[in-house]
Amino acid sequence: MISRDRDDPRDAAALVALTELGRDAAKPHSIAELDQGLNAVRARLAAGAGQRRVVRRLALLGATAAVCVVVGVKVGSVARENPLAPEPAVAVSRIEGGTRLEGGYLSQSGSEGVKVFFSEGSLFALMPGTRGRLRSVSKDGAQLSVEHGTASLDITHSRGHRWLVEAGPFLVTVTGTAFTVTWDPASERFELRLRHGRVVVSGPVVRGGIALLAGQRLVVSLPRAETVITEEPPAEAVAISAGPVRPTVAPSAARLSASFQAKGVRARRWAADLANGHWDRILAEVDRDGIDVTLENAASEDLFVLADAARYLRRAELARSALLAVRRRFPRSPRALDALFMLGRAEEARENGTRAQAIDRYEEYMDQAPKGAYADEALGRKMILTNEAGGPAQARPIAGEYLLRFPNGSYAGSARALQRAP
Amino acid sequence: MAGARASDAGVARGLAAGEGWAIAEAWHRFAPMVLLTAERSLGSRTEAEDVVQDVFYRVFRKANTLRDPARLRSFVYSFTVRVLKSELRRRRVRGWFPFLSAEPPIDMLSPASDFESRELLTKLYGLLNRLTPRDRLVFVLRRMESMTVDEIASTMDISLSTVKRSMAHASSRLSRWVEADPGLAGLARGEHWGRAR
Repeated sequence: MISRDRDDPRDAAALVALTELGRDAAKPHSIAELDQGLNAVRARLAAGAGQRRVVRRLALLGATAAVCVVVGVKVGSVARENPLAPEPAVAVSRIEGGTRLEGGYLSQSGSEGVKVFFSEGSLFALMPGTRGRLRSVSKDGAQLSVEHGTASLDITHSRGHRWLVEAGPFLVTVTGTAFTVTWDPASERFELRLRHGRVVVSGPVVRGGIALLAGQRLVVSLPRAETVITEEPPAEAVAISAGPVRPTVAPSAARLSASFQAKGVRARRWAADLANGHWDRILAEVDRDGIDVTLENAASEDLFVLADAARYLRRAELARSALLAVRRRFPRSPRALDALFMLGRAEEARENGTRAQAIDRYEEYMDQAPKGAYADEALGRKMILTNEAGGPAQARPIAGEYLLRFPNGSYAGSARALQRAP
Repeated sequence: MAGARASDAGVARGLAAGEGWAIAEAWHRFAPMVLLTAERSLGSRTEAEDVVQDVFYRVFRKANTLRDPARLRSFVYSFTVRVLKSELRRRRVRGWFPFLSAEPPIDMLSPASDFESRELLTKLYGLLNRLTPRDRLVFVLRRMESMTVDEIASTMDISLSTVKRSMAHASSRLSRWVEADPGLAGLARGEHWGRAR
């Protein structure tokens, strides 16, 4: 066998291009996502869940394989033909209020909007005046698009199906859920209200993607680079509060807050709130107890959680204050260095922050922790910001330094592009 | 020395001793790298997140078996490859049975990417799905992760000649499939390219 190396000219040029596309498509996870992952691993360690997913899957696989050996191809062919098979294929079963045009565009014939019913029970409903499209429908799911207006989706949960909904530049990854999505290209405003289930929204401003839980509402304004997540009461709660009988008065906020004054309790609860996307709760508690009091008394881990929650809810000043508090109160802790890097990120997000301030933070971090956990990202961000401020000529030396230090780093693709730029 | 200033060996010793700071440090030091490798190998950000949790759960549980603490990075990578390989095998076996759920869709989508770019990615991973798990991993580690043949051999615990053979096999098959796909022919002339950037 003749061995071929990575730059073998016999490789199809298209394969080289495809491979580059695949390499560059993977984007680094945000700090918040990483923190969520760490929390999940810690929870598993704490629970001692030794027999994990892989073992369960292998057991399931073994059992499945045994069954399949017995019934074999016959079952497979029956499953394909039988509409009651465990994973029914996704297909459009009927369209009400309109027709499907070439390219998947949906044309309204009345004033009630268009409803697309899928064979496995899912529904894609366009509100009157909304322009939407069925980009593709396959047995494994569908790709839908909302180009203007509001659409409501009710997706039947199935592990084997995946639904993607494009709304302007945003992409909603869906499993089983119900939500309403709005995209207004004129004001460049995106809104998603999640009734139940879970979705992940990715797109501009929400770098790395945001996971939303039932009852949450996400609004993104591109011109203002603003992301706001609020929690809305579930339908049942609204019904109760609207009725004539008032529910029993809940314990006062002060009492609830006092019960969580022990730092350990707060740390555990805040970390869980952060991991579960309940950022509003964290900030509500801080607002109730007082920002200054919290900044002076909270443990360093709490301050980090607070900084993350504040960043997600676009309270960049509060995020910055929390990180500065870590630096001031815990100057010798390893987390103080992490805070330095994250201050750079906070400066980037802050309304009055400047690129120069963010670059200063990143440089300070690299001086103090040249091999630190965020050295790669600090140098990468410095390169990106320098390019934005001064163009490729100024950023190119940084790109060279980056490639020298982190040839496989997250920003290596951008650094190479900068080096090639005229 | 604790935290970001600790060497890999220091972090490994911290892990073996069950130190909380070492868990956080190892995660922040290696998880970004493992996530990217997993995402590129599987074509799915969601699946990559699952895999990374498996990897680090194993790493943290088995840290006390690491004989040379300075080799923590290799230790993490070898777990990564093992978990990825088993995930790819699992997918392959599931693919034999049409009534089981299908391949997870490609969701490694950059926010600004368009549907055309996503479709290209879907095609790429559709082709990779046709390779054996070993050939696929060797190809991804070599082409997307820019690892040397030596590094791949060491990480996957296979011989150099096996790596070269797998690479040649994967490259020639993928090239043939790409050339045979009229929808991908334009890529060689630079069409589509650049949209996902």
